[in-house]
Amino acid sequence: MKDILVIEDDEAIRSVLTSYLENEGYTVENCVDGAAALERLEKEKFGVILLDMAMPGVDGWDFLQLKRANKKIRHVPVIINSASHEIYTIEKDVVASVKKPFDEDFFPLIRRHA
Amino acid sequence: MTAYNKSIYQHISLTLLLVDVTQWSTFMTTIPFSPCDFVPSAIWVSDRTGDVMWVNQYLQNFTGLTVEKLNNRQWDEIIHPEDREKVVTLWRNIVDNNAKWEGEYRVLDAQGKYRWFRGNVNPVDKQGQRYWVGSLTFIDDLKEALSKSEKAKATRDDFMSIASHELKTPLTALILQVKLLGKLPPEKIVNSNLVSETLKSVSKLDRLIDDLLDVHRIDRNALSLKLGVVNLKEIIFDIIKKTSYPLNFSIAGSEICFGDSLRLTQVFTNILNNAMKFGANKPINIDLRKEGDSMVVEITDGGIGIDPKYLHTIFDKYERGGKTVGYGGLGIGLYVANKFISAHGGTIVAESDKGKGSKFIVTIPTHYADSGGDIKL
Repeated sequence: MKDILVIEDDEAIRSVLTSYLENEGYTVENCVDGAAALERLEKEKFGVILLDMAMPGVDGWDFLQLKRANKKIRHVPVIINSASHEIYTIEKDVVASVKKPFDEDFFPLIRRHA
Repeated sequence: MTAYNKSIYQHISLTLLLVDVTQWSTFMTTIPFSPCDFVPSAIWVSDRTGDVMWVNQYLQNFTGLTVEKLNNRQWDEIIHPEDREKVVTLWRNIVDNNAKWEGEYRVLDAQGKYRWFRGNVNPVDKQGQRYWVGSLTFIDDLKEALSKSEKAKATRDDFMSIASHELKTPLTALILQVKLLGKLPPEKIVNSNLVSETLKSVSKLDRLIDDLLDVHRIDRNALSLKLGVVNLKEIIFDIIKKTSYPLNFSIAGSEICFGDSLRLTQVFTNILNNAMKFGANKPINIDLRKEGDSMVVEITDGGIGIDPKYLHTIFDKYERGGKTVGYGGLGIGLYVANKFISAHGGTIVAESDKGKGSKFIVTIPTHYADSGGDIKL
């Protein structure tokens, strides 16, 4: 079991967000898109998913639909981490919506789920 | 005192009117044509049933229909099907209520194309008879200009939103990188690639801002080329040595041409960045060769390709080949590349099979025709 799965298509953000969270003491894995994340979630358990929305291929919206259709992983809590000003509905598995960049104000939230 | 003055004014006005009418009447009887036929608007007169009694030459020329044809209740057939019901209903309404009317609708011209007009209709009573006098003013060019300006505004608004998102991505990485640099002990920083990654984010931001400024310079015709002898092999090699993406680079014969080395670097960086972004991790082939008096660079990827309906717009400003969410990009890379290559007297041609990949063929004359020094774009 790992604490956080980061799903982010931008290489620089994915890499630094992983290091940033690891430096806070979390165990972190990352994936480049929703498809890779669904495969990863089949193999390992995660405390919380940090999800970017705008991605090529299986994007954040597709990922949420596919995840909710899979009994094994539908319960895993998701924190949406998006660049846009759009506010996402906090519903079902989505426990928070955080505007990029992710900052330390949200660590207590991660701690609650990780 | 007041009454006396008023009667004088009335007397003067009446005299002026008499003079005016006399002159007008004389004018009408001496000129051998109807002035209405030389007005750049359509004018018509009809009775209350809608039968056209008279039209000026403009309306006959524009529609290609004679007054007899229009009179034969065919006038509604030359109104655009989408506007017909509205115009016919309004016509009934003005006849029933003796009202004036003003509005816009499309009329079929003699070449079979619908054109926008602004029409108005007024009731006129003469010798106990009610007539309807209408005019149509051509506003098709104004409508087209308005629609173009609205489209340009919508494109600019979309671009602002895309540009903000694009600038925000490296900025997000940069904020996190700087925060992490502030948290990590020096020995951890030395053993990581955090500093070089931070610099990469800064360069990415710098490049995006340069691209935006280039578009602004092109729009203002304020960009110039600094011409000199350039080695295309070196330019391309400098770009591809920074990436781990699989590439094949083949060179046949000469690799020298005359051009602006910085601008040509931008051209090939933009085309290669696109090829890598949309290349689905399949190898990209770069073929550099000399053909006659030109250098030709062909860049072929095996990626997602371009939808045929967008292929002709990919060199337009702010166009992204129909790609929106997820792929990023300002939609100015190929626009800028095409402007730079045109300034070199060359061309860029794009070919694509959707789902199979794209090919960009860049042709640059080895000796630019005006290669006497710097040139303005």
